[in-house]
Amino acid sequence: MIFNGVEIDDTYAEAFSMLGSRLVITADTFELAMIAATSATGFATSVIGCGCEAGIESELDPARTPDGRPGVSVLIFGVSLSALESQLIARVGQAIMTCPTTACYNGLEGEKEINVGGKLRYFGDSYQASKMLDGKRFWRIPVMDGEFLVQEKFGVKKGIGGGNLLILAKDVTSCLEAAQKAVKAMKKIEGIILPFPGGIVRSGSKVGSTYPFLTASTNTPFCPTLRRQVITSLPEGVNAVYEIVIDGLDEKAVRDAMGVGLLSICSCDVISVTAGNYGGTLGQYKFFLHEILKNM
Amino acid sequence: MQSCVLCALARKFSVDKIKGVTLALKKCGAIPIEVDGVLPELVLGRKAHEISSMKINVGKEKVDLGDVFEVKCDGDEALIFEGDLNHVKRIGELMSSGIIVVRGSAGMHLGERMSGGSVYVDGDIGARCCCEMRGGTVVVNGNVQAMLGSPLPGNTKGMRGGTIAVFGSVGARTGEGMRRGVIAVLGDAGDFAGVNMIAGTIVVFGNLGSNAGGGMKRGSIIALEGVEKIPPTFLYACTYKPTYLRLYFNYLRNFGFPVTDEIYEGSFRRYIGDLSSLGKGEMLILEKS
Repeated sequence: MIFNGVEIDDTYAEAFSMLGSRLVITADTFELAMIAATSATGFATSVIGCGCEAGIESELDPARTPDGRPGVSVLIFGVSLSALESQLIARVGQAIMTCPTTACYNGLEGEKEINVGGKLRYFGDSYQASKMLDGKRFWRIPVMDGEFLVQEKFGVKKGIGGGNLLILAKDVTSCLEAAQKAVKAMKKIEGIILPFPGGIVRSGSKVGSTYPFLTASTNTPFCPTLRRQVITSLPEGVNAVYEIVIDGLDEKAVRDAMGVGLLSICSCDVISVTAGNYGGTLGQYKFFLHEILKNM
Repeated sequence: MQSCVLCALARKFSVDKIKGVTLALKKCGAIPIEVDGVLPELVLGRKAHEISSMKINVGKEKVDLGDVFEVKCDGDEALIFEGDLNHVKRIGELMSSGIIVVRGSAGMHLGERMSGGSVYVDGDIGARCCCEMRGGTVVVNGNVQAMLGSPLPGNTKGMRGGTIAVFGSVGARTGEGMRRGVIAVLGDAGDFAGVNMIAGTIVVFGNLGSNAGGGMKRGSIIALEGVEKIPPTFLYACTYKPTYLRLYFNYLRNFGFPVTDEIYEGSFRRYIGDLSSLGKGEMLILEKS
């Protein structure tokens, strides 16, 4: 399929079940909430190397937060309940609680719950206090600027990790421009995050390696410098590829994000768009590019 | 959510519009009438003659409900009591679900040990109401006498869940021995509010009487208009803006309490106590600008 002069590969992105959770971080100012959110979602590009995948979902008006202060919502994805719980405890404790004036609430009514505030409360050294309001428990942990308020339980639901788009262009400049434009559009979709830096992956990976001690390695079929050394997936004229990876709380969110991403990319000077998969044998979800584009 | 239903009943819609089973008191008297057991879950959906033949206590005698109340069935939204009900006791006792509307004032022991559902009272209520309440919501448009949410005689733990919203004033010993839950009072609170409190939250929009929080172990008493006398076993800790209070103020705003910007954004003087007990309780007093 050619759309707006861009070739869209007749393929699909293969994605996986993951467990997702949403944090609502508030603070006295929006800047402080964003600082906390940025810290909490740092070093969280891939579950393999970072333990979780995390990103900023959206900015929140005071009217949309539990305490009426400016806020930011953050999504965090993990492969298991225990892994997600550990990550949340670490990130809330080290990156959110440490930031001035913040509070942290659950933002997802999930199928299951993990205990975050209930574990962090011990930092209060027996001076913490619990408050139960409307069936929810919150912990007030004494800190140097007053109290850190954190909800005890955070909801977890089955989400999706690994939706993706691969942008193939003639050079880095045009490829990057298309990727950044797509990221800007996709970030407006609720329920998704783009966990990589700026939402873009430059060092995409493939399963397996020449080295027995590595489970993944550089995506050689999409590396322009290796065109004549490996079986390439690059059409002629392509000198740069960027990938956008999407994690979402449900299929619709991932689909919508891929759709707006595709539309944005096709308004730029790129050669083609494709997606990464493993032959359909590993992932639980398939997002077909043609189908998504037709539905936009 | 129950509290939203009650908010809708109390603040946005006239209670006259609610349809259900109406029990209108036939004759006022001085002899106490006890209506424990007359609950929405047991009454709604039944026929008038079945309800009339339920047994209630009038003084020492057991009589048919129909001898004391006129029963009218025109819906199943709520159980409605009408008349001069100052001597009618135990309305909503042990209630677990449904809605009770009291068009007027009610007597003692209203909502005692209730675990769910909602009670709306258009007038005042007597002493010892909502004792050992476990859940649900009670909204009182008038004043409340002493010992709201307190323990029953011989016990040490009072209210342990739910929400009580009073749009008048409350008497002494409100929230005594409170273990959990929220009591919010638009008017003044009498002496010894929150005495021997174990946990939970009391918010007083008017004046807080003397010796509030005496013997409290944990829990919070929030005074928005000032306190008559802070017990000497409470010590000033700091002045700050507790984030958790914003959650409570949002919650109370939904009930119709007048949470002004001054309250919502205000700073509070924190007094910790009671140091003669565990000392992990607090009194938060709004600092007036």
